[in-house]
Amino acid sequence: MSDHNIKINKEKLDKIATDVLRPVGFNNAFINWMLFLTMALVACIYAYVIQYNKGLIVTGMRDMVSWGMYIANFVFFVATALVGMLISGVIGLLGYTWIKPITRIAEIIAVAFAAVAGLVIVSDMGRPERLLNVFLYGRVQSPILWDVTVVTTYLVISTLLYLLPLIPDLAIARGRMLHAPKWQMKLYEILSFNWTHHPKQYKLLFSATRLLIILIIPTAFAIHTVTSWLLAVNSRSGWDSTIFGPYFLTGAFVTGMAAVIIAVFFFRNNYKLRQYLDEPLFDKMGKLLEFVCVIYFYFNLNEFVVPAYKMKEFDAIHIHELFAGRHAVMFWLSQIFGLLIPMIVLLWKPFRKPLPLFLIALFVIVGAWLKRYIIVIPTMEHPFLPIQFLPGEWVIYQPTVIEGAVTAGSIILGIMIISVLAKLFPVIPIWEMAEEDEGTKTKII
Amino acid sequence: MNKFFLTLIICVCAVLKLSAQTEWVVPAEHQGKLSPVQFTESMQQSGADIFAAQCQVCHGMPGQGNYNAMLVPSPGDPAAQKFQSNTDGAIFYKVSEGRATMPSFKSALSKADIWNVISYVRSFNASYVQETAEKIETNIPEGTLLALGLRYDEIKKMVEVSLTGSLNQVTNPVGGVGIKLEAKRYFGNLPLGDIKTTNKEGLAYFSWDGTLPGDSLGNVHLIAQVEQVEAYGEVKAEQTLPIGLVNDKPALNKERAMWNTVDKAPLWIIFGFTGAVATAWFFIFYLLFQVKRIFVLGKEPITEEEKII
Repeated sequence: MSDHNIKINKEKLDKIATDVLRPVGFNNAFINWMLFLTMALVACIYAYVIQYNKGLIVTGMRDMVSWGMYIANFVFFVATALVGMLISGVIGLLGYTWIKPITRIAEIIAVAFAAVAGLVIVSDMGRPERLLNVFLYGRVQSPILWDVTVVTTYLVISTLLYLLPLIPDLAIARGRMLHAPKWQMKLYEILSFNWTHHPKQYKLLFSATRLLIILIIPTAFAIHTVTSWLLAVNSRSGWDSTIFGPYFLTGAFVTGMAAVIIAVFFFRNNYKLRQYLDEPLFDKMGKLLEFVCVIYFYFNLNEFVVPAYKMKEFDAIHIHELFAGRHAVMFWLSQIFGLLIPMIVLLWKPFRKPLPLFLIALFVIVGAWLKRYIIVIPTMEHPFLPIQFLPGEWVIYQPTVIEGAVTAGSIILGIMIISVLAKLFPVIPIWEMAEEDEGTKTKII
Repeated sequence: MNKFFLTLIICVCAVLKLSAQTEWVVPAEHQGKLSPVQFTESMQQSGADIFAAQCQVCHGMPGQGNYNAMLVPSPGDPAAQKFQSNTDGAIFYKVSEGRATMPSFKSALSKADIWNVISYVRSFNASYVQETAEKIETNIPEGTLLALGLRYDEIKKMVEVSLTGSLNQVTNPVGGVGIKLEAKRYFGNLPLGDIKTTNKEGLAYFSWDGTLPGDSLGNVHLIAQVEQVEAYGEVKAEQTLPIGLVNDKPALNKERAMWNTVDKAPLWIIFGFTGAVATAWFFIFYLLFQVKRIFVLGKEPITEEEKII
């Protein structure tokens, strides 16, 4: 790739730059949207302040179920963040170029969700001011330490993978966005790192980005495998599984793809980018979602059918709770509407058109959130060693309003980060799209 | 015909299983067993302590109904009607013998301890009226104070237990009394050999081959007591003797291990973790350095044929 010469089509560049840069900038609609989100977030922060002052007693977590909605939500956020790796890393390295217009959107989601995942885990701490102790006195044998390390590393790599390919675009935008406010131009100037479209600069950028998309694959695998190990290194029924790493990873691809489809559908309509985020692209994304759904279904089959066939004493209690017990409704909802039906209907082309695909993705993402809840909570309700003298209400976990508000706050925060990034910088890589066809195709992806 | 037998077997099994779960049959000779002494407040107090330490995990606090309902058969609340309808002898038998998830406390608690627990449990039953056992006649004069001694005889390689009785400041050996010897273990006491009867000199000998594991110094905690508590009362001697097998296995936290502190973590995990983190961050810093080079290149002029845009 280093001997490769980039050639950018000037006319194409002008058209794409005009289209992509048009929605960039904080207009009134955006400010109202942000005001709305901010108000909602303030309410959620108020809930967190109550929790901070009174401690975790305001949540539904007690001695028996000490991991609740926060941990489920954390797993969901980490899962969604993995899509950056799937799109740019796996699919990109395989040489598929249809992903070009959605790479940056995937990276925005990765950065936003990875950043918020770190905060979600802090919200689960009773004494968040002691967070630093995890690093100072952490045990290298503990998956908790691995988790905080790898989440931080993944966030940094994702941010770099978002910012590096943005450099030429910011240089392009500087000459074209004449009505943009001064601070925005200043920011563009800083973040474009003196970019002059020098061929040597492109060469450096290619090699750097290529290194990043290779580096992000093991890091992303590590982040979600470690997240699964937080559960799988226990011998509790429902977590004691050797396939938890790949099970989580494939589940993450499903969640992440759904998130990307929702975001791409939004930008296609609101940013008027139908020409770039077109129907063939949705068809491809639909096929990719179908593919990851099938793999995830296969892992689900293994994860539930094998213990259900053996029905070992404690596994049987757990399986019964999921299949026909207290968690049955949520379990079957997430499995049928969040995985099985999407997997089947996506086989037909009409369902991979933008609107149906968007609706399917909504079901998938809600199902994915419920699935994380199903993975974390029921297992906690059945410890091997009976815990004595617990009041009845401690045995069954019931999330409180405060927990719900803090969780909603994390989702709002994620949407806010995505909104700001999508209005601050172009959402489609201009220079990559404007490249001359075949032959000179950049090997960046 | 086969079908008939199959049905019969299933029925018998079902009945047996049912009765095993619901009914705990106490042999008739144990039903009527009674405490040799009247329950006192101090007995209840020590019974309460034993109950909290040994029974409460499964049975919960008497009268609160917070027993562990997940266990089969259900332990039940000791203050409940079903529990209290047992005779004293039946409770004594059940505590001593145990069944299924209920452990046998025969060796963990002395008979007096079990009676103390019963006196505590009965304190939750207002309508309970205690009957005590009739006094058993012995050949020892009334008012004799019995005492046990315990030592290891190096020459005979035996544990020697001596029983003496004092009456009016005169101490005499007491013969013909059954003595049992036990070693203290984590849960309950381990009986050592059969019950021995004291000879004319008031001595009972228990053979000792020194193979019983002791602590890191070979110490073994021995307990000798009179077997027939109902007749002689509780007479006991305890002694820690360095006559066991020295148990000098290293502590579990001595070597590097997964469960140890961070400075005793296994080397492979220290190198694996720090190696992976260092590799990732090496590339991250390398990339930041590349960005710096991009910045520097921005000052270089571009020739016309090199122009990309």
